[in-house]
Amino acid sequence: MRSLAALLATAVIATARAVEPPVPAPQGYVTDLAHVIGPEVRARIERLNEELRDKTGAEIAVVTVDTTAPLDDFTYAMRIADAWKPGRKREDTGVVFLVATRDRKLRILVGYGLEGILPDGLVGEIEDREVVPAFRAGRIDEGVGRGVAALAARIADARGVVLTGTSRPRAPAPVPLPGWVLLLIILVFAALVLYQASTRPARFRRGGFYPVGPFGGFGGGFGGGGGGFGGFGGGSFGGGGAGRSW
Amino acid sequence: MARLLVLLATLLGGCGYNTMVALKERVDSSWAQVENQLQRRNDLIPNLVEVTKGYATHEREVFDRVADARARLIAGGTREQRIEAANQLSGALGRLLAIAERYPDLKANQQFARLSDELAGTENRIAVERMRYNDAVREYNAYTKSVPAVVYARAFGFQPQQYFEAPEEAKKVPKVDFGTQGTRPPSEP
Repeated sequence: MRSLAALLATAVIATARAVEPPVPAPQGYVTDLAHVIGPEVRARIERLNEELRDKTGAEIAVVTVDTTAPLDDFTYAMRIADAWKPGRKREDTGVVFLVATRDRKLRILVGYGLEGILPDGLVGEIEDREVVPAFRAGRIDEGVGRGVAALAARIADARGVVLTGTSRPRAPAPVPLPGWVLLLIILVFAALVLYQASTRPARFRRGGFYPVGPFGGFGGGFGGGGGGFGGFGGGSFGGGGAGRSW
Repeated sequence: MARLLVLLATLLGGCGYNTMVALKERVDSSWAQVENQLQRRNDLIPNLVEVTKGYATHEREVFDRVADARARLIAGGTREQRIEAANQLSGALGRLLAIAERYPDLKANQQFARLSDELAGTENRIAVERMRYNDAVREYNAYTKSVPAVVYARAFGFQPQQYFEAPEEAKKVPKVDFGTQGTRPPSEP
Protein backbone atom coordinates (compact mmCIF):
# COMPACT_ATOMS: atom_id res chain seq x y z
CA MET A 1 0.00 0.00 0.00
CA ARG A 2 2.78 2.29 0.98
CA SER A 3 4.70 1.53 -2.17
CA LEU A 4 1.56 2.08 -4.20
CA ALA A 5 1.10 5.52 -2.66
CA ALA A 6 4.73 6.28 -3.31
CA LEU A 7 4.36 5.06 -6.87
CA LEU A 8 1.32 7.26 -7.41
CA ALA A 9 3.07 10.25 -5.92
CA THR A 10 6.09 9.64 -8.17
CA ALA A 11 3.84 9.32 -11.19
CA VAL A 12 2.12 12.59 -10.36
CA ILE A 13 5.44 14.36 -9.86
CA ALA A 14 6.82 12.82 -13.05
CA THR A 15 3.91 14.06 -15.16
CA ALA A 16 4.10 17.49 -13.54
CA ARG A 17 7.79 17.68 -14.42
CA ALA A 18 7.31 16.24 -17.89
CA VAL A 19 5.40 19.24 -19.22
CA GLU A 20 8.25 21.55 -18.33
CA PRO A 21 10.86 22.20 -21.01
CA PRO A 22 14.00 20.14 -20.73
CA VAL A 23 17.34 21.59 -19.79
CA PRO A 24 20.18 21.29 -22.32
CA ALA A 25 23.11 18.99 -21.57
CA PRO A 26 26.41 20.65 -20.65
CA GLN A 27 29.04 20.59 -23.39
CA GLY A 28 31.92 21.53 -21.15
CA TYR A 29 32.62 24.72 -19.28
CA VAL A 30 31.15 26.65 -22.19
CA THR A 31 27.81 25.53 -23.62
CA ASP A 32 27.34 28.00 -26.42
CA LEU A 33 23.90 27.19 -27.79
CA ALA A 34 23.44 30.73 -29.16
CA HIS A 35 26.77 30.52 -31.03
CA VAL A 36 28.12 33.79 -29.75
CA ILE A 37 31.40 32.75 -28.12
CA GLY A 38 34.48 32.78 -30.33
CA PRO A 39 37.14 30.06 -30.12
CA GLU A 40 39.65 32.34 -28.45
CA VAL A 41 37.36 33.43 -25.60
CA ARG A 42 36.11 29.88 -25.22
CA ALA A 43 39.68 28.59 -24.88
CA ARG A 44 40.46 31.32 -22.38
CA ILE A 45 37.40 30.50 -20.26
CA GLU A 46 38.23 26.79 -20.34
CA ARG A 47 41.84 27.38 -19.31
CA LEU A 48 40.78 29.70 -16.53
CA ASN A 49 38.20 27.21 -15.30
CA GLU A 50 40.66 24.33 -15.21
CA GLU A 51 43.11 26.38 -13.24
CA LEU A 52 40.38 27.66 -10.93
CA ARG A 53 39.07 24.18 -10.31
CA ASP A 54 42.52 22.79 -9.59
CA LYS A 55 43.41 25.60 -7.22
CA THR A 56 40.10 26.34 -5.48
CA GLY A 57 37.53 23.71 -6.47
CA ALA A 58 35.27 26.38 -7.98
CA GLU A 59 33.71 25.95 -11.42
CA ILE A 60 32.03 28.55 -13.63
CA ALA A 61 29.57 27.09 -16.10
CA VAL A 62 28.88 29.39 -19.03
CA VAL A 63 25.72 28.83 -21.05
CA THR A 64 24.31 30.92 -23.86
CA VAL A 65 20.84 30.45 -25.35
CA ASP A 66 18.63 32.43 -27.71
CA THR A 67 15.82 32.60 -25.22
CA THR A 68 14.82 31.09 -21.89
CA ALA A 69 11.11 31.18 -22.81
CA PRO A 70 8.74 30.05 -21.50
CA LEU A 71 10.74 30.33 -18.28
CA ASP A 72 12.17 33.55 -16.93
CA ASP A 73 15.94 33.87 -16.84
CA PHE A 74 16.23 33.16 -13.12
CA THR A 75 14.15 29.99 -13.20
CA TYR A 76 15.98 28.76 -16.28
CA ALA A 77 19.37 29.39 -14.71
CA MET A 78 18.23 27.59 -11.54
CA ARG A 79 17.20 24.58 -13.62
CA ILE A 80 20.62 24.55 -15.24
CA ALA A 81 22.29 24.84 -11.84
CA ASP A 82 20.23 22.00 -10.37
CA ALA A 83 20.83 19.77 -13.38
CA TRP A 84 24.53 20.44 -14.05
CA LYS A 85 25.68 21.10 -10.50
CA PRO A 86 28.90 23.00 -11.11
CA GLY A 87 31.21 23.36 -8.14
CA ARG A 88 32.63 20.87 -5.71
CA LYS A 89 30.15 18.64 -3.97
CA ARG A 90 29.18 19.72 -0.42
CA GLU A 91 31.40 22.79 -0.76
CA ASP A 92 28.94 24.09 -3.36
CA THR A 93 31.50 26.24 -5.12
CA GLY A 94 29.78 26.65 -8.46
CA VAL A 95 28.70 29.56 -10.63
CA VAL A 96 26.25 29.57 -13.54
CA PHE A 97 26.72 32.35 -16.07
CA LEU A 98 23.66 32.47 -18.32
CA VAL A 99 23.23 34.72 -21.34
CA ALA A 100 19.96 34.81 -23.31
CA THR A 101 20.83 36.77 -26.42
CA ARG A 102 17.41 37.36 -27.90
CA ASP A 103 15.89 38.17 -24.50
CA ARG A 104 18.89 40.43 -23.84
CA LYS A 105 19.12 38.98 -20.36
CA LEU A 106 22.07 38.05 -18.26
CA ARG A 107 21.93 35.99 -15.05
CA ILE A 108 24.75 34.91 -12.79
CA LEU A 109 23.91 32.37 -10.09
CA VAL A 110 26.24 31.70 -7.21
CA GLY A 111 26.41 28.38 -5.34
CA TYR A 112 25.89 28.24 -1.57
CA GLY A 113 29.60 27.95 -0.87
CA LEU A 114 30.52 31.10 -2.78
CA GLU A 115 27.76 33.37 -1.49
CA GLY A 116 30.12 34.79 1.09
CA ILE A 117 32.81 35.87 -1.37
CA LEU A 118 30.43 36.70 -4.21
CA PRO A 119 27.49 38.45 -2.56
CA ASP A 120 24.63 39.50 -4.84
CA GLY A 121 25.65 43.15 -4.72
CA LEU A 122 29.15 42.36 -5.94
CA VAL A 123 27.85 40.11 -8.69
CA GLY A 124 25.60 42.95 -9.85
CA GLU A 125 28.56 45.30 -9.80
CA ILE A 126 30.68 42.93 -11.89
CA GLU A 127 27.81 42.67 -14.35
CA ASP A 128 27.49 46.44 -14.57
CA ARG A 129 31.19 47.09 -14.87
CA GLU A 130 32.54 44.18 -16.92
CA VAL A 131 29.72 42.57 -18.82
CA VAL A 132 26.87 44.93 -19.67
CA PRO A 133 28.98 47.62 -21.45
CA ALA A 134 30.43 45.04 -23.85
CA PHE A 135 27.02 43.45 -24.38
CA ARG A 136 25.52 46.85 -25.23
CA ALA A 137 28.26 47.32 -27.78
CA GLY A 138 27.26 43.98 -29.30
CA ARG A 139 30.40 42.17 -28.18
CA ILE A 140 28.87 39.24 -26.34
CA ASP A 141 31.94 37.06 -26.10
CA GLU A 142 34.09 39.88 -24.81
CA GLY A 143 31.53 40.57 -22.08
CA VAL A 144 31.34 36.91 -21.09
CA GLY A 145 35.14 36.62 -21.06
CA ARG A 146 35.55 39.69 -18.90
CA GLY A 147 32.76 38.64 -16.55
CA VAL A 148 34.18 35.15 -16.05
CA ALA A 149 37.66 36.59 -15.52
CA ALA A 150 36.37 39.00 -12.87
CA LEU A 151 34.45 36.25 -11.05
CA ALA A 152 37.43 33.90 -11.18
CA ALA A 153 39.78 36.62 -9.96
CA ARG A 154 37.52 37.38 -7.02
CA ILE A 155 37.27 33.71 -6.03
CA ALA A 156 41.04 33.22 -6.36
CA ASP A 157 41.67 36.36 -4.37
CA ALA A 158 39.41 35.27 -1.53
CA ARG A 159 41.06 31.85 -1.45
CA GLY A 160 44.53 33.34 -1.50
CA VAL A 161 45.68 31.85 -4.80
CA VAL A 162 46.92 33.49 -7.97
CA LEU A 163 45.55 32.60 -11.37
CA THR A 164 48.01 32.90 -14.21
CA GLY A 165 45.37 32.33 -16.84
CA THR A 166 47.91 30.63 -19.04
CA SER A 167 49.72 27.74 -17.44
CA ARG A 168 48.02 24.44 -17.21
CA PRO A 169 49.11 22.00 -14.53
CA ARG A 170 48.70 19.18 -17.01
CA ALA A 171 51.15 18.51 -19.81
CA PRO A 172 50.46 20.90 -22.65
CA ALA A 173 48.35 19.39 -25.37
CA PRO A 174 50.52 18.42 -28.31
CA VAL A 175 49.85 20.44 -31.40
CA PRO A 176 48.64 18.23 -34.22
CA LEU A 177 50.44 18.83 -37.50
CA PRO A 178 48.55 19.05 -40.75
CA GLY A 179 49.05 16.06 -43.02
CA TRP A 180 50.92 17.92 -45.74
CA VAL A 181 53.53 19.25 -43.31
CA LEU A 182 54.28 15.73 -42.16
CA LEU A 183 54.52 14.52 -45.74
CA LEU A 184 56.92 17.34 -46.53
CA ILE A 185 59.09 16.47 -43.56
CA ILE A 186 59.18 12.83 -44.60
CA LEU A 187 60.13 13.79 -48.13
CA VAL A 188 62.87 16.12 -46.91
CA PHE A 189 64.30 13.45 -44.65
CA ALA A 190 64.05 10.84 -47.33
CA ALA A 191 65.80 13.15 -49.76
CA LEU A 192 68.45 13.94 -47.17
CA VAL A 193 69.05 10.29 -46.39
CA LEU A 194 69.17 9.34 -50.05
CA TYR A 195 71.53 12.22 -50.75
CA GLN A 196 73.83 11.27 -47.92
CA ALA A 197 73.65 7.63 -48.86
CA SER A 198 74.66 8.40 -52.39
CA THR A 199 77.50 10.74 -51.44
CA ARG A 200 78.85 9.15 -48.27
CA PRO A 201 77.73 5.55 -48.09
CA ALA A 202 80.12 4.61 -45.29
CA ARG A 203 78.76 7.14 -42.85
CA PHE A 204 75.19 6.21 -43.61
CA ARG A 205 75.83 2.61 -42.67
CA ARG A 206 77.52 3.60 -39.43
CA GLY A 207 75.01 6.22 -38.42
CA GLY A 208 71.99 4.00 -38.62
CA PHE A 209 68.47 5.24 -39.16
CA TYR A 210 68.32 8.93 -38.62
CA PRO A 211 64.70 9.26 -39.61
CA VAL A 212 63.50 7.07 -36.78
CA GLY A 213 64.07 9.69 -34.06
CA PRO A 214 62.04 12.48 -35.59
CA PHE A 215 59.27 10.10 -36.55
CA GLY A 216 58.87 8.97 -32.99
CA GLY A 217 58.65 12.56 -31.85
CA PHE A 218 56.00 13.60 -34.28
CA GLY A 219 53.95 10.54 -33.56
CA GLY A 220 52.90 12.13 -30.26
CA GLY A 221 51.35 15.02 -32.09
CA PHE A 222 48.58 12.83 -33.33
CA GLY A 223 47.83 10.91 -30.19
CA GLY A 224 46.71 13.78 -27.94
CA GLY A 225 44.18 16.52 -28.35
CA GLY A 226 41.13 14.86 -26.72
CA GLY A 227 41.07 15.90 -23.08
CA GLY A 228 37.30 15.44 -22.72
CA PHE A 229 35.03 17.20 -20.19
CA GLY A 230 34.53 15.04 -17.15
CA GLY A 231 31.34 16.72 -15.90
CA PHE A 232 30.80 19.17 -13.09
CA GLY A 233 31.47 18.51 -9.42
CA GLY A 234 28.01 18.35 -7.81
CA GLY A 235 27.49 21.75 -6.17
CA SER A 236 24.14 23.07 -4.91
CA PHE A 237 22.53 26.45 -5.41
CA GLY A 238 20.05 28.41 -3.35
CA GLY A 239 19.18 31.23 -5.71
CA GLY A 240 21.91 33.74 -4.89
CA GLY A 241 23.34 35.98 -7.59
CA ALA A 242 22.14 38.84 -9.75
CA GLY A 243 20.71 39.49 -13.18
CA ARG A 244 20.62 42.30 -15.71
CA SER A 245 19.01 43.13 -18.99
CA TRP A 246 20.87 45.10 -21.62
CA MET B 1 2.53 -6.49 27.82
CA ALA B 2 6.01 -6.25 26.33
CA ARG B 3 4.92 -8.44 23.49
CA LEU B 4 1.96 -6.23 22.85
CA LEU B 5 4.20 -3.20 22.69
CA VAL B 6 6.56 -4.89 20.25
CA LEU B 7 3.61 -5.91 18.13
CA LEU B 8 2.21 -2.39 18.23
CA ALA B 9 5.57 -0.88 17.27
CA THR B 10 5.93 -3.29 14.38
CA LEU B 11 2.43 -2.52 13.18
CA LEU B 12 3.02 1.20 13.39
CA GLY B 13 6.31 0.88 11.58
CA GLY B 14 4.66 -1.17 8.90
CA CYS B 15 1.84 1.29 8.56
CA GLY B 16 4.15 4.19 7.90
CA TYR B 17 4.36 5.96 11.23
CA ASN B 18 8.10 6.34 10.74
CA THR B 19 7.55 7.64 7.25
CA MET B 20 5.19 10.28 8.57
CA VAL B 21 7.74 11.34 11.15
CA ALA B 22 10.41 11.63 8.46
CA LEU B 23 8.15 13.59 6.11
CA LYS B 24 7.08 15.93 8.89
CA GLU B 25 10.72 16.44 9.77
CA ARG B 26 11.43 17.48 6.19
CA VAL B 27 8.55 19.95 6.23
CA ASP B 28 9.91 21.55 9.39
CA SER B 29 13.49 21.74 8.21
CA SER B 30 12.39 23.28 4.88
CA TRP B 31 10.39 25.82 6.80
CA ALA B 32 13.48 26.68 8.85
CA GLN B 33 15.26 27.47 5.58
CA VAL B 34 12.39 29.74 4.56
CA GLU B 35 12.66 31.48 7.91
CA ASN B 36 16.41 31.98 7.42
CA GLN B 37 15.83 33.82 4.19
CA LEU B 38 12.95 35.87 5.61
CA GLN B 39 15.28 36.89 8.41
CA ARG B 40 18.01 37.80 5.96
CA ARG B 41 15.57 39.99 4.08
CA ASN B 42 14.40 41.66 7.27
CA ASP B 43 18.02 42.47 8.09
CA LEU B 44 18.57 44.11 4.72
CA ILE B 45 15.59 46.41 4.91
CA PRO B 46 16.80 49.11 7.34
CA ASN B 47 19.82 49.93 5.15
CA LEU B 48 17.78 49.95 1.99
CA VAL B 49 15.17 52.23 3.52
CA GLU B 50 17.89 54.47 4.86
CA VAL B 51 19.48 55.00 1.45
CA THR B 52 16.13 55.45 -0.25
CA LYS B 53 14.95 58.01 2.29
CA GLY B 54 17.92 60.20 1.45
CA TYR B 55 16.58 60.71 -2.06
CA ALA B 56 12.86 60.12 -1.88
CA THR B 57 11.71 62.11 1.11
CA HIS B 58 8.08 62.31 0.05
CA GLU B 59 7.36 58.62 -0.08
CA ARG B 60 6.32 58.31 3.54
CA GLU B 61 3.45 55.97 2.75
CA VAL B 62 5.73 53.41 1.12
CA PHE B 63 8.18 53.51 4.00
CA ASP B 64 5.40 53.08 6.53
CA ARG B 65 4.04 50.12 4.68
CA VAL B 66 7.44 48.42 4.62
CA ALA B 67 8.05 49.14 8.30
CA ASP B 68 4.60 47.85 9.15
CA ALA B 69 4.96 44.56 7.30
CA ARG B 70 8.46 44.06 8.64
CA ALA B 71 7.32 44.61 12.23
CA ARG B 72 4.50 42.14 11.73
CA LEU B 73 6.96 39.52 10.52
CA ILE B 74 9.25 40.11 13.46
CA ALA B 75 6.31 39.80 15.86
CA GLY B 76 6.09 36.10 15.04
CA GLY B 77 2.81 34.20 15.20
CA THR B 78 1.65 31.03 13.57
CA ARG B 79 3.11 29.81 10.32
CA GLU B 80 -0.02 30.95 8.55
CA GLN B 81 0.31 34.48 9.94
CA ARG B 82 3.97 34.59 9.04
CA ILE B 83 3.29 33.54 5.47
CA GLU B 84 0.75 36.32 5.18
CA ALA B 85 3.13 38.89 6.65
CA ALA B 86 5.95 37.71 4.36
CA ASN B 87 3.76 38.15 1.31
CA GLN B 88 2.70 41.58 2.48
CA LEU B 89 6.32 42.57 2.90
CA SER B 90 7.17 41.34 -0.60
CA GLY B 91 4.47 43.60 -1.99
CA ALA B 92 5.63 46.59 0.04
CA LEU B 93 9.25 46.10 -1.01
CA GLY B 94 8.21 45.87 -4.63
CA ARG B 95 6.69 49.31 -4.26
CA LEU B 96 9.76 50.61 -2.48
CA LEU B 97 12.03 49.55 -5.33
CA ALA B 98 9.59 50.85 -7.90
CA ILE B 99 9.95 54.41 -6.62
CA ALA B 100 13.59 54.32 -7.75
CA GLU B 101 12.26 54.70 -11.27
CA ARG B 102 11.11 58.20 -10.35
CA TYR B 103 14.41 59.23 -8.76
CA PRO B 104 17.31 58.96 -11.21
CA ASP B 105 19.82 60.04 -8.56
CA LEU B 106 18.71 57.21 -6.33
CA LYS B 107 18.98 54.76 -9.18
CA ALA B 108 22.49 55.96 -9.87
CA ASN B 109 23.52 55.54 -6.23
CA GLN B 110 25.92 52.66 -5.98
CA GLN B 111 24.91 51.63 -2.51
CA PHE B 112 21.30 51.54 -3.60
CA ALA B 113 22.25 49.38 -6.58
CA ARG B 114 24.10 46.97 -4.31
CA LEU B 115 21.29 46.78 -1.78
CA SER B 116 18.67 46.22 -4.48
CA ASP B 117 20.76 43.36 -5.84
CA GLU B 118 20.99 41.87 -2.38
CA LEU B 119 17.27 42.26 -1.90
CA ALA B 120 16.42 40.78 -5.30
CA GLY B 121 18.81 37.89 -4.59
CA THR B 122 17.15 37.30 -1.23
CA GLU B 123 13.71 37.33 -2.79
CA ASN B 124 14.99 34.69 -5.20
CA ARG B 125 16.34 32.64 -2.33
CA ILE B 126 12.98 32.91 -0.59
CA ALA B 127 11.32 31.72 -3.79
CA VAL B 128 13.66 28.72 -3.97
CA GLU B 129 13.16 27.77 -0.33
CA ARG B 130 9.43 28.32 -0.66
CA MET B 131 9.34 25.86 -3.53
CA ARG B 132 11.33 23.29 -1.57
CA TYR B 133 9.05 23.77 1.43
CA ASN B 134 5.95 23.35 -0.71
CA ASP B 135 7.38 20.18 -2.22
CA ALA B 136 7.90 18.82 1.29
CA VAL B 137 4.36 19.79 2.31
CA ARG B 138 2.92 18.22 -0.82
CA GLU B 139 4.61 14.94 -0.12
CA TYR B 140 3.67 14.97 3.56
CA ASN B 141 0.05 15.90 2.94
CA ALA B 142 -0.32 13.33 0.18
CA TYR B 143 1.06 10.64 2.46
CA THR B 144 -1.05 11.47 5.49
CA LYS B 145 -4.17 11.48 3.34
CA SER B 146 -3.41 8.12 1.81
CA VAL B 147 -4.54 4.76 3.20
CA PRO B 148 -3.60 3.55 5.74
CA ALA B 149 -1.97 6.63 7.25
CA VAL B 150 -5.19 8.59 7.00
CA VAL B 151 -6.81 6.26 9.54
CA TYR B 152 -4.54 7.24 12.38
CA ALA B 153 -2.54 10.29 11.24
CA ARG B 154 -4.80 12.66 13.17
CA ALA B 155 -4.75 10.47 16.23
CA PHE B 156 -0.98 10.87 16.40
CA GLY B 157 -1.19 14.59 15.81
CA PHE B 158 -0.10 14.66 12.17
CA GLN B 159 -2.10 17.63 11.01
CA PRO B 160 -2.15 18.67 7.36
CA GLN B 161 0.52 21.32 6.74
CA GLN B 162 -0.03 24.65 5.09
CA TYR B 163 1.48 25.58 1.74
CA PHE B 164 3.39 28.81 1.34
CA GLU B 165 1.23 30.32 -1.36
CA ALA B 166 2.54 33.53 -2.80
CA PRO B 167 0.19 35.90 -4.57
CA GLU B 168 1.13 36.60 -8.18
CA GLU B 169 2.45 40.06 -7.39
CA ALA B 170 4.66 38.75 -4.61
CA LYS B 171 6.08 36.05 -6.87
CA LYS B 172 7.45 38.72 -9.10
CA VAL B 173 10.82 39.58 -7.75
CA PRO B 174 11.06 43.32 -7.23
CA LYS B 175 13.42 44.60 -9.83
CA VAL B 176 15.10 47.85 -10.48
CA ASP B 177 16.16 47.79 -14.05
CA PHE B 178 19.68 49.10 -13.95
CA GLY B 179 20.24 47.56 -17.34
CA THR B 180 18.11 49.63 -19.63
CA GLN B 181 18.82 53.20 -18.67
CA GLY B 182 22.00 55.00 -17.86
CA THR B 183 24.98 53.28 -16.36
CA ARG B 184 26.22 52.95 -12.90
CA PRO B 185 29.05 55.36 -12.13
CA PRO B 186 32.44 53.69 -12.15
CA SER B 187 32.97 52.05 -8.81
CA GLU B 188 35.81 52.75 -6.48
CA PRO B 189 38.52 50.14 -6.73
